[in-house]
Amino acid sequence: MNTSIASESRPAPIIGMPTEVPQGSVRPLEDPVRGFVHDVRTPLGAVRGFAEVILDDPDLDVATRTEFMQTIIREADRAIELVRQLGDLARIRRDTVPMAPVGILPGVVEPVLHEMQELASGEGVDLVTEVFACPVTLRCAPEWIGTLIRELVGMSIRWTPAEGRVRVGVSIRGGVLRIESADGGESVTEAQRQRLLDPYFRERMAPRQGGSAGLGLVLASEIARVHGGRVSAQHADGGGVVLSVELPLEDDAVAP
Amino acid sequence: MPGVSKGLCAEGHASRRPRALVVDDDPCARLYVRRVLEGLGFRVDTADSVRSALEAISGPCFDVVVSDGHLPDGLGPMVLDRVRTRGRDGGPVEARMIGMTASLDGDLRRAFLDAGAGLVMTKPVALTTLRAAVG
Repeated sequence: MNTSIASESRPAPIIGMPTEVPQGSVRPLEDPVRGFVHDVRTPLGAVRGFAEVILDDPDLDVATRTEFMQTIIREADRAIELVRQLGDLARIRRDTVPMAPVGILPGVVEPVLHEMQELASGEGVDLVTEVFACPVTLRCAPEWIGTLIRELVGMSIRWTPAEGRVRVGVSIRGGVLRIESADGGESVTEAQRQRLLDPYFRERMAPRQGGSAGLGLVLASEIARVHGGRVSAQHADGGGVVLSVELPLEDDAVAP
Repeated sequence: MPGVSKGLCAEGHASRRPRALVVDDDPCARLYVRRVLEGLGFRVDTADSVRSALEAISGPCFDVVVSDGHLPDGLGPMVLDRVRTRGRDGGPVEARMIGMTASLDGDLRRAFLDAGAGLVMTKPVALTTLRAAVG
């Protein structure tokens, strides 16, 4: 499904496109606190702005008023999600994560994938899954594994335009549980691929939301690390990106 | 509309509807600024990247350009710098340029000012503040 591509495939430059900041050196937003402050101000701005627009115009028609109210709710949810990600990241880094053998397949993975199918459907994205058929046990904290899958697949959905397709595969190979999520978004350059897991990566446009990728993939990487695994991002065949997580299994993890 | 006429294009007419360009990769932020500017009588174009903004300014001339700081393919000051350069070359003149950013970064603010922004505002921007800035 995925492949590493050694060469870059940059789009043709626009003639006269500036390539440098006019003056000085502007720092990127990798620092979690700086990035969070930047990203949370945008939805808060929309909440405040649209509330003011509604109050300012008592003659606003019902359809427009409803649209603006829905925008306020959606943007408030977006701010809440950013806060949730930052809180989860602090928690996974600080707290001891209790591990126990859990029937991860089908018990944990399939309900989360069902949830993600509903999310994708709401965004007009087709989510196709291919899941390893036998029961699998993983020594893990199941609620964190659920969060990990939500962040990976949620990011793939976010990076996929409406009417596009996300493919999620769950497989076992060499004593490792592998979950892959391939989006239907635009291709990235090799330099961008190497930065996809950075906090607040924003060089790849999310078609419906814009903005940065937030902390979701940082959180996913941290959850994988706590479970002895890792998250990676690769170029997908035919364009797009494959986000994947590999989690090591114990010897008797797969039921016959 | 006080102040807007100062930014007319060289080839414009005093009676034409003023035109604004709003550059932001966040669709809600674009919609908000667009809505406020349209309420002030502007005809508003939008762009979601440096690339699309440069395409926009290669066409019609703008009286006001409002740009976000961090865009997917670069920084807002790149856009304003190009608008200013075009002005010097005999293109659109005296566009009122505004940086609008959620960043804490002082370097970005300086880059906006160096690129010709008359004002750099911090998000969230209140309705009255935005109106005063472009009016």
